[in-house]
Amino acid sequence: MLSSIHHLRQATARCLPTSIALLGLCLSNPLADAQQADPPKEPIHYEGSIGAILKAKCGVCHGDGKQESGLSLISYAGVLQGSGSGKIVVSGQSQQSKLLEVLTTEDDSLKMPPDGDPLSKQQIEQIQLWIDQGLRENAGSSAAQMRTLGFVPNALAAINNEEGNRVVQLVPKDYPIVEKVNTRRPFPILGLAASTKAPVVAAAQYGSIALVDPATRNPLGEVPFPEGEPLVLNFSRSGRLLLAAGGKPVRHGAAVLYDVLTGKRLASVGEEPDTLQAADLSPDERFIAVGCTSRLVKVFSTETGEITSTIDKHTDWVTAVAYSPDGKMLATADRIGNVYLWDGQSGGALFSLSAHKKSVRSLHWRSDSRVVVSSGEDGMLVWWDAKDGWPTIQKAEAHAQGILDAKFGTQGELATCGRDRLVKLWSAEGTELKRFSIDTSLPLRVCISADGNWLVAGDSAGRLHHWHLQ
Amino acid sequence: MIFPRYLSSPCKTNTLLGWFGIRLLSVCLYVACILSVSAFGQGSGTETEVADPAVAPPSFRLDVMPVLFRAGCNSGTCHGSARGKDGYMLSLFGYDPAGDYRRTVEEIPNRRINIAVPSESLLLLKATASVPHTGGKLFDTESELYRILLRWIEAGAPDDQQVIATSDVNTSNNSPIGIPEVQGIAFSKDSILFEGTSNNVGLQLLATYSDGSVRDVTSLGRYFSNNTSVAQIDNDGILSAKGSGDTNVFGRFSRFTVGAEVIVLPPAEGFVWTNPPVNNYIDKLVFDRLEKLRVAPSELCDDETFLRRVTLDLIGRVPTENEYHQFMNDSSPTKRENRIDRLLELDDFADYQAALWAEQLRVIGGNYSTGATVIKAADRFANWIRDQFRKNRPLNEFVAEMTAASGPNIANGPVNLYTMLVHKPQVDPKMLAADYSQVFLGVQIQCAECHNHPFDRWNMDDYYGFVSFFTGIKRKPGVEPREKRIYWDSKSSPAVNPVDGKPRPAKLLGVASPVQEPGDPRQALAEWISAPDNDLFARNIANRLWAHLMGRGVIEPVDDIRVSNPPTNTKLLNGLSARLVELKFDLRSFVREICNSRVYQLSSVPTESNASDNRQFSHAKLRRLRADVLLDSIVTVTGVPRNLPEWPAGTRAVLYYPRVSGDTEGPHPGDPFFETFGRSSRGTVCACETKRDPTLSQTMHLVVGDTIRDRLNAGGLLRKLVDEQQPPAQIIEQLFIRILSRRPKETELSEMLQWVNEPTNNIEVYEDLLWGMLNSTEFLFNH
Repeated sequence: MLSSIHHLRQATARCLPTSIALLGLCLSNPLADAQQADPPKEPIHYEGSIGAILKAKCGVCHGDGKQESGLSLISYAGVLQGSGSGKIVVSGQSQQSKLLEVLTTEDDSLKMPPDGDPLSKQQIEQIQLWIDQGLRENAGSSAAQMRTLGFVPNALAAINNEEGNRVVQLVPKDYPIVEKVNTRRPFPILGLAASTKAPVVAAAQYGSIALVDPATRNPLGEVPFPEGEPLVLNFSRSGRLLLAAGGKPVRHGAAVLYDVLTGKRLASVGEEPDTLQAADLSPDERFIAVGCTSRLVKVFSTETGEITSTIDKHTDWVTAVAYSPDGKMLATADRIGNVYLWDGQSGGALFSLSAHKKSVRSLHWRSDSRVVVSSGEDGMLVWWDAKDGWPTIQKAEAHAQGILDAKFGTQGELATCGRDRLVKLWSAEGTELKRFSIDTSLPLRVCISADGNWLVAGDSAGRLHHWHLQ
Repeated sequence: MIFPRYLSSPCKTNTLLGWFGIRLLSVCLYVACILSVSAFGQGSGTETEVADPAVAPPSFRLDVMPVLFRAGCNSGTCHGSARGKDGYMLSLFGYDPAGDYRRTVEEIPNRRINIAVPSESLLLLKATASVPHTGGKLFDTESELYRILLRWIEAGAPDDQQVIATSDVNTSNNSPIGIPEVQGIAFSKDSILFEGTSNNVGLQLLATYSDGSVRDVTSLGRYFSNNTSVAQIDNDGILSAKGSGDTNVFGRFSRFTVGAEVIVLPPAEGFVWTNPPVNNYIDKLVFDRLEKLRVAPSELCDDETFLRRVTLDLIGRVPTENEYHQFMNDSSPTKRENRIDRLLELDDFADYQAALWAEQLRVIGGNYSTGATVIKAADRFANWIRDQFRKNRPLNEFVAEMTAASGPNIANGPVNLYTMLVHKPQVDPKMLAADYSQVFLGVQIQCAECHNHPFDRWNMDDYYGFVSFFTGIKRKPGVEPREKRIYWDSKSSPAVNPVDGKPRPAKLLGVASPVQEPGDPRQALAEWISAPDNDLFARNIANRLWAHLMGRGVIEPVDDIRVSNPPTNTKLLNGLSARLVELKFDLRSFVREICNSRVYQLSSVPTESNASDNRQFSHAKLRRLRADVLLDSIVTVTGVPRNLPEWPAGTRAVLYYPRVSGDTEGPHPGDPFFETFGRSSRGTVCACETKRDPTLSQTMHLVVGDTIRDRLNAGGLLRKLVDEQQPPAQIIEQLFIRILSRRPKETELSEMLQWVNEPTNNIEVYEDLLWGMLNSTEFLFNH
């Protein structure tokens, strides 16, 4: 089974994106196990084949006599210890492991061994598999822990009452009329969000935010956003409030709270010199965290409007911030690919989540607060286990040329959109379920309606696309 | 063929708009799309551009990119730097339009370009400094540049629809469709002569496109002068004379740079052309230029100066006392020619030239080197080079043999080009290509690794095509321990141009199509480099040899030949280069003619009109001796040898190359004296590794260091002369001849005699004299 995943992973690098779906299926579908032709093999371990390969091929320079770069590969401890410049293997992550990189690189000046015969394809595959299986030392070592993505939907309860009827009090009504701002073209949908409690979707326009019913597509109302361009839209976990953040580039930025029911403007925080790139409201509705091009994450109190704390860890624009639905954690990300998890109460750093090589575009939490998904311009889509910062599922090229947005539905399903002009739906286990194509413009944002029936995408030509999922 | 609409249109804005009627097509596509989805935000969009389909929007490549270039957005200090600036990156001078479109329009949706509210586009707000901009204000909202950008954004910031691969020059030449590409640019004049300062002249910059059209791009080009104290050129191409002299001004547009020569003459009154005699073609070419510039050359240098100069230049040390007397007592009218001939015949000449090449080729041996640069290999390589020069092998054959060499590197000397030129544990094709080009062609092609060369003709295809000559070079263990066998791996693949990710098979510089023959392409490279019609090679070798003898190349620095660094005397360099080819790359014959020219033998004392000239060879250039020549000269003068690390006693400093214990990468000055006086540490192939700048530590070393201190008694010579009771005047004269290669002047002699005569024949006074002369600039310089 593992071997087949491994081969598929290799294949995915070459012939995307169809094989991604296959990979997902293999992980999730127990039937796939039974259909495997390969006989079950013993797990690979160091004292078996791996040690022998490394000794034979690398032992002259990285062995007893010489330890080039301070690295010895002829003992298990030596491999784990790494070289003078750091670790060479990361358990479970061969693609993050320097050892595999130097064996497979195309760059002759980095490639190992420097002279003589390179390792055979099979040998490299064995090493890769060994790393991915968790670096077993010997046959008695414990198997790498296999992770599950168990998910218990709990958000639907609020949207349907006990008789299964919709709860409608969180749907906007009787909004005042907002005067149109005339633009040369429809404004791109830079912000898009679905309430998790009611059939409402909010979409950004120039100087205003429109609310529509995801099923009927009927306009429900419109609220003004005189700050300019709303880049980020988020409903509160209660579905009662709408947060909009944005502004005008290199002029000003702010985050504004609206009452969903009445459309009334409740509060605004932040007087930033540039558009806010990211914002989220804490589940208790007491704090708004915003991400700025000044590289800071600022947390404002909704009651006083004052800054209560800042995070200065990021070294480039902060592109995404997201509170976990239980309020225990805050995830933040930036334009060079760093993602951090913070303690939502104390503000202490919990984990640094490293997978992205380019700008992170979005962070979104699953409704049970156990998984946060990150996506970015490198095309990488990662489901992180919030318990320990483990990259449970990684999709290296979820969208060719980059992902623009990724959002969970209430059931743990995930919607993504990217520069390949595709909108995709993924199962809670990371299987690609559906894909939709937008021909002429770029799908900038996606969301899934509260009832899970509708996938909505907003594009660069200012249009909303609705797909029925059931 | 010139399309009048580009040159003669009274309204410039219109000429910049619209090359193709592609707009109708895009409008149709747009409408079709709207139908398939739910309309949203209705009422907020007014498709105003639909109303005016007759006027095509500006093209991104033809109109918008030139604006980004002209305004300086994509220059190296701004967004064109390798990592961009403040998060926004453009390709340097626009070598990658597709990438620039993506980064400008698509990277951050709706920020830099706002097609819904065009005037809110950050691109416009920043360029006009309406919002804070590190680069300041580049143009205002009334300018033509602004209008082009705004019209393009108003049209929806479209990408060009019929784009052909910009890098594929061959197809673009004949392509019937697609966006035309710039194929070359030219100034309306390529040479401008000003009679005196305070004059202006306007230059036009014309670009020729692949569809045959010519467009006046004066208002979109960028301009600079190599010497603004001679001539300045402003943003509109207006050239103004500032001071007498000669220089070049340059115009740039798209990926091209073009130059024009500017001469600003000094006043004619008071200038007399001396009509100096002409010994050979060199004198004619240099004197023609000087007469044109109203600069009179200096007089011929005297015999003593000539002897010292030619001996230092040809065999790398000062003349001995014997050589001095021999030459001075010779009364033949051709004694200078005879002396040149005799020096050229010496093994010392061949060995010195070979040593200079060994330095250039970075010969360094390491006892335990991890690469393939063990001492045995270095010795074999150095000896092979020496043998080629001793038998006067034509220089092109010498280089060709190394270029095509394969085999074990301890047995086969020339193959060490591929172990020494780049000292790395593995073969690095990119560095090899760069260093090969720099050494043998004088061209720094490596700029084109990441972007088209900003100041030369080379683009990224040229670079990666050239790298592919070296991608197959591999090493495997040889027969002897630590020997490496260099071979061509036929399974290797060519270098890939990262802009489009496609491989570029081996292609010679300046040749349109790749090498056709299968197998090791270095054979083709060797044939090409040694071919008589290879201007690049002959010009580089001629220029380097001229620089060695004259102290300055006709192009300087010698290893940075490019369009924007033209020869100071084009006819001279062409003449030298052609002559080198005519002489079949015979080193001795070529050097003989330079040394026999009057230009080589001019005095270093300037005339009134040439005092400020430092680039037209009107007088001999004062040159501080190379570190190794200085050390050899001190040894020659004092007769006391100087040991060099890891070399037998008595080895000449010019022949020294580093023999080290560890690996050979990294700089190896070899000896503290060499480090102090700037001998090349062979860390790179750059000609700048040899330093001639004066430093305080040089002065201190000569004043109190052991090099001179340990030689003050000149190996017992002074004691012997004093004991023999030689007359003081004779001893002083002997010291002058030994050290400065001349007899003392009357005034010098009488002054020195006073000191000597006080306590009679005190040896310490002679030691002081010797010390003083070795510390004099006259000794330290070749003049």
